[in-house]
Amino acid sequence: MLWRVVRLIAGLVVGLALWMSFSDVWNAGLAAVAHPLFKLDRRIAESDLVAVGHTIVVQPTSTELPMATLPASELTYNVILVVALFASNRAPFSDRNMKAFAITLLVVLLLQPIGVLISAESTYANQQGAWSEAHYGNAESWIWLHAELFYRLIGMFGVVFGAWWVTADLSASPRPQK
Amino acid sequence: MSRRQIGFLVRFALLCCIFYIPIAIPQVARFSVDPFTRGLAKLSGGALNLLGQQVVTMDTTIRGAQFAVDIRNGCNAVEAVAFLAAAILAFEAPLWLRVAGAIAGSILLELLNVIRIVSLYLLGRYHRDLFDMFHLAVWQTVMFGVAVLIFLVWTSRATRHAVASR
Repeated sequence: MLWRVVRLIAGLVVGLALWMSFSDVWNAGLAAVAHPLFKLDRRIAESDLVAVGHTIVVQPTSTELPMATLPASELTYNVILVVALFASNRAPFSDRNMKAFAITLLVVLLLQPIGVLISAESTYANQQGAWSEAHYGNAESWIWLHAELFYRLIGMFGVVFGAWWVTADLSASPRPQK
Repeated sequence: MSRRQIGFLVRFALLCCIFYIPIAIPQVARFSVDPFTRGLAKLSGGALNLLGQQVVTMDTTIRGAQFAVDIRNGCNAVEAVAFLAAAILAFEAPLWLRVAGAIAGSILLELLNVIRIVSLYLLGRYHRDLFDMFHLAVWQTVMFGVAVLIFLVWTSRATRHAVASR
């Protein structure tokens, strides 16, 4: 267990370094991937997403939609936990562990654009004053607010843990005999 | 993916949602999370005073002469406790073992959280440039990483107990 803790801490340091180094570049890619999801909701569809440092700015292409800033980096740092958890596994550089890591990373990265959409809906439903009141009902505002809170407080880490737990068997199961 | 794994994940997700209720509903939070957060602020403020920081705790705010922190959801570790309790309670093991594991694990996480609050206050006061990184990325990841470690330690003991009692 002690070595597992050491590997976890090493993974945390490496994950943090990677996240800090590539966060801004990643946010640009995230903005591009999340943009088509905004077409799902007509209220926020007429917009462009532009990554600015640690944030993604929703820039309106129509005059009606207000501008909004989303805390992009706060939606992506669960990748640090992915790296830390897979580094903590026995034989972290084995083919099986790397394969499980790749699958988990893919799941987490596919969910991040959805996190951006949830954050945008929550922002537009609750933080745009009269515009929010005109376009979102009370129940809908509440749902988006808690969808974002749940995702940011528990969900984004729960997904990492769930994917790691499921693929742990894959990374630990004995190699089939030839 | 095996049926057991699917069952575990479904129970884990459901319990995460259930444990989120005290955070989500203000009427419930008022009698559960809010008093707990005030107690946590007092405990952390006491620890800082022991370290000679001369802080005053008011409600959920710890205030010193040059810096202050306000403990809110996300900083009170209730989410990490909910995560750990959901994982332990979702695991197939005797009920008493799960309840004992969830309680002991939660206490450990909250003790770690006192260290987090104290360290964040000290970082905010002496190394303001590092505060945001530690507040957002480092400590939040550490809390969930430790929650997973506690879960792993507990599952290994629970599995050993199940084998021994067969």
